[in-house]
Amino acid sequence: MKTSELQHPTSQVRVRPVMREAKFSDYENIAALQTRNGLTTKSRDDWMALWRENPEYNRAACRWAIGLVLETPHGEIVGFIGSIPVGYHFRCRHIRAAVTTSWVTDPQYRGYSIGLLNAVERQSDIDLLLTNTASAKAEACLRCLRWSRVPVAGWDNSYGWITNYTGFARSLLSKSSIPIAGALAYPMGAAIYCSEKFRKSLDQARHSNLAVELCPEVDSRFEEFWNQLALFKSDSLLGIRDRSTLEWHFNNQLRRGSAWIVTICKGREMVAYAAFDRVDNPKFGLRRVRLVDFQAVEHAREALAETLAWMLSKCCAEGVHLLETSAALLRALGDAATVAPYERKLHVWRYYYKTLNPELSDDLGDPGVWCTSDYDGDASL
Amino acid sequence: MTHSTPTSAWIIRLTKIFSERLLIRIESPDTDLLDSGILDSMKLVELLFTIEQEFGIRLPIADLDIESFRSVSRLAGLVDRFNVMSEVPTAT
Repeated sequence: MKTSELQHPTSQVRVRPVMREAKFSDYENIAALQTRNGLTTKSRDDWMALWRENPEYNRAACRWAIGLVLETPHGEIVGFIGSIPVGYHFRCRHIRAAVTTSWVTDPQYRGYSIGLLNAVERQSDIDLLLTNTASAKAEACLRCLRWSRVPVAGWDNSYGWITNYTGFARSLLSKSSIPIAGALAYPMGAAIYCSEKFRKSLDQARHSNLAVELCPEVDSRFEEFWNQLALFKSDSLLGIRDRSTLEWHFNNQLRRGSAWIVTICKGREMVAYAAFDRVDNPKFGLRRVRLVDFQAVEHAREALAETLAWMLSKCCAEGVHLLETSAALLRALGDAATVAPYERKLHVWRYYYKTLNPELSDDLGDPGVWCTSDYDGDASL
Repeated sequence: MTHSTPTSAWIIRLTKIFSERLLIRIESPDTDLLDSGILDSMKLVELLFTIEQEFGIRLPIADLDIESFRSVSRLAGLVDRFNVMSEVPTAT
């Protein structure tokens, strides 16, 4: 190796940052850090609500650090990682997980960024660490700190249904930087349409006695549904979905019209629920709805088919291009390939965990105990 | 006659890892790898994996302080502490 080929440091860190607990009053500086590093930011109210309206944060009272920052002696925040408490039920026990979120460091301080992640692990009163929004870069750090992949197949791909062929094709061509995207979109849309054969299998799985209803809010029925679900899945590590937790998770999006919750009822009895959110990609003009969560206490497969048929119609009517969901969610419900026509490889395993409670280590190595969806972690917060 | 201590031998091997595996030239064993911007998060991860592979050790990374990675000298001390192979390193 010639010396001239070796790299020399180019960006000098002028001052040494110190790590401290994040405070709500850091919001402006953290938002500025996120913005200058190309991340999206939440409004102050939405950001504060991640903790202040979070039932698990309130259960932890004042003992929970909302995250950690790297701060220079001049008071500039150059690194941040958030830590959101989330409750789980597992075999009649309450499990407290910390979901890491918004991990970001200015480029010249990135040698310190792994220290932020490492420090989150040192919080007390945590059974489990979770993230289901890992990027390729974060994945390397997570593996370095001995985090494990959640052992459920499908967290590196997603399934989808195209609901507006022309719009989807235009978005795809735009992503591929093809200049005549608009002109090509129509024939390409037709080609995609011809290849789709899923409706027949979806229709076969439907159940005429089930009714899908859009809920404007998380109403009182969800309390009883959660009690049933917690019993039905008592052997699973199940994110708490009681009324107050669902309200915290979805209410802001429901108010803005960027999330939808539907119930699936047999007669007057609620047998399932599903949550969707809007995750457009403005850069490519892609209008996309995501199935975030689906839980059923009976008729799971039929209820899913009814839900998907309902949402596919809604997407078609509203000009949404794509309905998508994590492959892990569909696979857990059966033979996903029979209902979902398209699969997208993500090139990264999104869902990682680390147990801090030694009693959980062996149990969580078993894929059968996990009940995963984009409701977990911060994927839909 | 000079004596090669285990730590100084680790320094030589670590400096070689920087130059050959990470393609980074280290001016001095005490160069601040963090404040100089030499190590970013990805390079640090690569370095730690390489150290484990090269030295046959498993570092309890989650229990370590970031200060352990600040310089080649400190990394050498770390390797020395966790070198379970108990072999005397050769400074070649």
